[in-house]
Amino acid sequence: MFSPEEITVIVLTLKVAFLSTLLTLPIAIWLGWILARKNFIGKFLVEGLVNIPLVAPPVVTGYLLLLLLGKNGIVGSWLYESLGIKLAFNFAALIIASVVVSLPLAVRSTKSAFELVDPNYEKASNSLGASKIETFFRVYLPLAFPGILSGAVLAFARSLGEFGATISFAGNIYGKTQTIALNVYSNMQIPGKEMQVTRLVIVSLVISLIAIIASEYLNKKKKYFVR
Amino acid sequence: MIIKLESVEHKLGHNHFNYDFCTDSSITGIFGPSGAGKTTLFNLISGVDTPINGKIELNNESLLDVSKNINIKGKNRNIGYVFQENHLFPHLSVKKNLLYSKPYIRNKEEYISFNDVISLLEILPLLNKKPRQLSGGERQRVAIGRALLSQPRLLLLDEPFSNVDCSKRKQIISYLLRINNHFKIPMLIISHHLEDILKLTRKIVVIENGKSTDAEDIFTIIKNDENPELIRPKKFQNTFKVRLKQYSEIDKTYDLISGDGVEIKISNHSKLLNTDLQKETKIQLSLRPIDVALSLEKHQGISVQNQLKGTVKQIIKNTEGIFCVVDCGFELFVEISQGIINTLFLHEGQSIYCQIKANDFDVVHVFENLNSNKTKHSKTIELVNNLNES
Repeated sequence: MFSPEEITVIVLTLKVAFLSTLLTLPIAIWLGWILARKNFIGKFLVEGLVNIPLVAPPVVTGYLLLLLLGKNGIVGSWLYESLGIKLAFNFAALIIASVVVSLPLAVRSTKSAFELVDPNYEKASNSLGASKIETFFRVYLPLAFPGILSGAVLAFARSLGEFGATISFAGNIYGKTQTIALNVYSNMQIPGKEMQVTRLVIVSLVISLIAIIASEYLNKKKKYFVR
Repeated sequence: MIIKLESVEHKLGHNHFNYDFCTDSSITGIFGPSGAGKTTLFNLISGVDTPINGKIELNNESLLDVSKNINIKGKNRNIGYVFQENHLFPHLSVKKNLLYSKPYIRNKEEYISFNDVISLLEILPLLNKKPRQLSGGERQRVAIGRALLSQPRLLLLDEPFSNVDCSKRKQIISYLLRINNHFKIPMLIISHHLEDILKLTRKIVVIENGKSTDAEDIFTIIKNDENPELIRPKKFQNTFKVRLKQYSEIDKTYDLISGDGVEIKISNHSKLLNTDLQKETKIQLSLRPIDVALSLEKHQGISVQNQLKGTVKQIIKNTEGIFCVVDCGFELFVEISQGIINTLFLHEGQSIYCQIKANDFDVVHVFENLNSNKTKHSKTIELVNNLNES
């Protein structure tokens, strides 16, 4: 049904989506928590920085990542020269680009999930002897769980469709950084590849649809759960 | 248990609060109009908020002393707090809510057991339910149980009657008296209903416009005519504890005796009473001042079954009306009128009979006998064990 080339691309895409979601989640939980519950100087700046990839063209995000983490970038050059670590145009770049673009969506979801939890539960939990950390794990996290999960699904879906930041920062290298989106883009320009394009487009649509339905379901559950 | 607040000052926005009182009563009522600063007081005692000045002591142990920089964290104060809105954790079952504090009580003496709590508060059928499946009264009971199981040395109850209807109020009052009697745990209870508080205790702290009075006996407050706008004698309830002497099958009345040896008869219209009650069972009664009639002599051939001999201690005239305090072994607060004073030539020191119909008494609570409680208790333990096994 699928050619070996298509299978390589699909497997790589799913691998990137899963790994980047796994990395995005703890960061999104932490950021969502502090943005929802804490007041600190520079909160607007943090919120702005997190959300830039949501509004900026993904190609711009990719270019900024290249300026920062590329071999000649501000941080990247130091990493390469002192530790020999290369972060651009490889699998790591694919994951980084994916995390950066999906983070704002995940943070929005976790933040609103934490905002929905009545802060009075914290008072009750403290009066029963629990510390702030214990209250976070025993009250806030379970109550925000459906929202966190729906954030994860959104991050997963966003990572599946990622194109602009990936092509600028990770490149379009078959077997290494070529995901479904990049493969479709490449094959669209080659006559006779229409069938492969169509198959991958359908795969992509099905995965996205499942992710969005799951996210909507969890969102509904979130409101019910907190009540 | 002595709770002492000394010159505690707090500021919330433009509102200033000052608390200064000391109480050693097993139940102390915190009374005042809405927005007076009652919940703020609880937040300061429990450590949810920190005042800008003052001292808070529990049994001479400093919980907070701003001048000495002492401020014990709320979670270490060992105070149970039942919030007005309960705040039961919605994602946990009733059982898990009750056991929430279990990991944090390792170093404490466990003097309140899970089985005792579910038996006294009758929570057993609710254990596997989620808080959203409970009624207001049930939620209140679970919240009280949850606070008790954190093994507190003091229980704060914020408006425990506000989310329950009138009939359930009586039930909650009864549960509170039961807990207080069984665990000997001191309680501070907020309510803006004076009648409810007075069914539980006569010791009250009045809070108005962010300021507290000292904890005083309601009789003293009324006698001194302090705060007549707020402490309205018409809302007053005479409350007293009596013991069961016997049940008369022929008259369908219960013969009771007060601690001062005064005999009282009440009829069996209350659901809390039953003919199986053992001798010496303690019962808490309440009586409205309007339900007491006065007469100069004892009458024969009259339907009134209680004619208590007493002495007029004080006559109080205020904006609400005219009242007198009669000492008939215990003090009774009686609503009268100028006409009665004129007809009976009522004066302080005068001998008088208080006439009370047997069905005018309200039974607030029947304190269970230890023996009957044990049987009930062992049944509950059995049920809990079965539940755990299943």
